[in-house]
Amino acid sequence: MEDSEIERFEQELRSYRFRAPKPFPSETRTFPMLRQWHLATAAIVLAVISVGLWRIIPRVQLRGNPPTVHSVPESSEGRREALTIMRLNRITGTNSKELDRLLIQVSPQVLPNVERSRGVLHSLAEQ
Amino acid sequence: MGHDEIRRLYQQYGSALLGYARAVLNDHPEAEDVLHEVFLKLVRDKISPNDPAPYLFRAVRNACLNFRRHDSRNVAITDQDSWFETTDENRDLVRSLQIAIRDVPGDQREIIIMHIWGEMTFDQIARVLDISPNTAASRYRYGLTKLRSVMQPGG
Repeated sequence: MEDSEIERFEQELRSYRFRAPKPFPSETRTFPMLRQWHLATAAIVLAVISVGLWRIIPRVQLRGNPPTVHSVPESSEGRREALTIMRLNRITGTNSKELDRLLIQVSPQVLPNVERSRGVLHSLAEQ
Repeated sequence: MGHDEIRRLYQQYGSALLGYARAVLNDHPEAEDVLHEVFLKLVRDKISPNDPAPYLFRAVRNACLNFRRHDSRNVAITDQDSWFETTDENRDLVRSLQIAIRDVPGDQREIIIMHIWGEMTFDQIARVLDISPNTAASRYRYGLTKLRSVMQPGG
């Protein structure tokens, strides 16, 4: 190979570039450590919140009188009365005791059961 | 040597050193780890070489040879792991260049990489390999001729 050929070939070879390596080692070794610190801190915060909630929630529940669901007494005619919006409207403002009784009757059917062990609210409280 | 200076050296020589490590290790996938170990040692031991290029190539070479002594596994070479930056246009040329470089004898291949991509003089290369500059230059010439004959069979 003559010198001019060598120079031309060298130029051609230089036009190809080696792939760059991964980022500098100190960076790749620092960032995972930072991420580990963040994860550890987040886990501790989550644990503290969970323990706090676990201790507070039962007290809150005990302070208030939880509504007791009574079995609905049957009417004088001996049959369970049907509850309608019209009937509720009629009772509101006239017979508070009857309104209270009817709302207690209907609440288990329309509201989630907070005391059920595998209920949605129970799961949320655990989280 | 400070972190910024080491990072600058890594950016300047990292690609050529990685290509060199791959060539010495015969495309072993651990080439990048070997390179990282060399730079970590630089950080750890607070070494400040007067002439960084020969020092780095020599350190990578020693680390590769050391690694090869301890790891005698045969590793299948995958075509997907290209040594060079690849585009759709140069994919075939890059592939043939990589194969051609692998076909050049090891002592010549190292000098080609150090001179072309490491931009080192024959004096510097000679210091890395413990040979005379004339020997380095003549091996380079032989290697380059071989490389061209593989890449351009008719030329």
